[in-house]
Amino acid sequence: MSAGRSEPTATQLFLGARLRRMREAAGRSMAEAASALRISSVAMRRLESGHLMLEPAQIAPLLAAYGRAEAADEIQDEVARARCPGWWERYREVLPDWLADYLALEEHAQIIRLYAPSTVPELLQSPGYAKALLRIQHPDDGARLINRRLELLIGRQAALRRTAGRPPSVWALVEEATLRRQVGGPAVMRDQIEHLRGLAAESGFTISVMPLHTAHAALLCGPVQMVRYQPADLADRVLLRTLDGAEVSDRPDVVRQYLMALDSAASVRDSLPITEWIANWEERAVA
Amino acid sequence: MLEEQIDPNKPDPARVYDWFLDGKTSYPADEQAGQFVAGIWPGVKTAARANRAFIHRAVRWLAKDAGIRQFLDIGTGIPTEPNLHQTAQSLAPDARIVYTDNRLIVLRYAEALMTGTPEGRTAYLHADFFDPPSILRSPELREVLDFSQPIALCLNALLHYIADDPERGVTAQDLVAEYVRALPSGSCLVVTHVTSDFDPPTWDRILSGNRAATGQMGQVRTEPEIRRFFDGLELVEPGLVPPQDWRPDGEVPAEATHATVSMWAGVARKP
Repeated sequence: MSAGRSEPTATQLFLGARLRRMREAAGRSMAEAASALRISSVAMRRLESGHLMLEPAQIAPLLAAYGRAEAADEIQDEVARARCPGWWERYREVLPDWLADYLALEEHAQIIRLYAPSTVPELLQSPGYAKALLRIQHPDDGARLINRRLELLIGRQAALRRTAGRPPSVWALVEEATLRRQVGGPAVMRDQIEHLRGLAAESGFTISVMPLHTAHAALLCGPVQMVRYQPADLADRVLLRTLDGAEVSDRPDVVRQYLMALDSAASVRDSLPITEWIANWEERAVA
Repeated sequence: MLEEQIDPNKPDPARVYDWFLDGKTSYPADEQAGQFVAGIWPGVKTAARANRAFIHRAVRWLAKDAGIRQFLDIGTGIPTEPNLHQTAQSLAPDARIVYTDNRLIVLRYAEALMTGTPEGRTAYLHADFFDPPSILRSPELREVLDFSQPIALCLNALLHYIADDPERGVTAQDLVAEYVRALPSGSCLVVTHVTSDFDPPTWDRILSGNRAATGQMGQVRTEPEIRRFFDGLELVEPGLVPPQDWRPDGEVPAEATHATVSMWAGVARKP
């Protein structure tokens, strides 16, 4: 049993939730399912919560008990996927543990909401902007490590355009201050803003600017990333960046506070789509 | 009654409804209000699900059997998958949908989270049902909907939030009639509405309680009152019935009894 981790990985979480829905649809109790596998109800519960991994030998008897023998191949694939390492594992030297756990969750997201009070969120950064920020964040890293970090980031951005399954809706609220702050200098910023406008033209990306003259509850938070999944029984999660990493929470009271803050920012009257926002400094730079 | 700012301490009907559907877009005030309603009307979550299932069946029927390609949904609420345009465009990819709501935040959600097919169109309008011209004459709406072709006007679980105001001489029926007048022949009206008809004691308790605390202000109507919304229109089979009884495409869930759901639903065609 691969029960070594205390927290379920994303694939285990999704597989568990899927098993639970199949059991419920079949009208079987937890005890009935457990007896089909000759395991305890506690172990069955841990299977469905993603804390315990389904063994290949358990697939056939479990699906037979649910009258879903035809789904065996699909579940087999999912189990195999849950066991194989993510693409990001080859970036271990630049990948902190909190991010490794989070990336799998991000890859499964159906909705990603972002709030960007001071810097452009990683998922929306242009390579030049990302590089400039990485240099500030990791002043002791040489060019090779910075490039590895950049590759990891670009891989993470590419994962959002997944073709297997529907890609997530990305909904970003960006403070005007973020766009005015010249990370990497004017040329990098112009490129970054063009990058944002390009993303906004794609289906599934919504990027709004909160002008400086507006005020709302999200101003009292730091950067926020909130993810929601398609299976309705999986809780939303918030990723809150700190100077040395991030905190990930799925506590309903915490998530709700950030939901309210994001909604407050989203309902600011004068917010603009990124395509309509024009900065004075940008005009001056052109002139 | 266009609302732009959020008051997180006040229950919002759209978020309370999302809570009824076991969604995740509700605040503590909404959950409190939802639990208060569920305490009096234990079937409310079943009713919300029956209402949604009806909308999907009605939209499928409109797109497939009635050949409707244009939908005007008023009082859209928080997006919940599958949304109306997803159901319509899964059968008719070229279907055009305009969503309207009087809460700005609801429209922001819709804009960000509801992406339609490339062949069809979806638009989102911040406008108020109480002000028909603000919707019917809106340039954004006219850009998407062609008023020379049939349109389905969807008023799902909306009209019980609209109380008649005899002093100002405004009734929900007059408002519905004004919208229907603007639609061409062959258009359809879809209505679902809560009623006290099936379970009077429960509804006495709901109506005598503190309704402001529940965020569920409006007017509960009887079958004859709801039937009047369809004046001049031809109700399609099976007529005005509880939503779970309208062309069911499978077994009706056992918990969805007439008393539990306490709603009327109907689809009618404009001759």
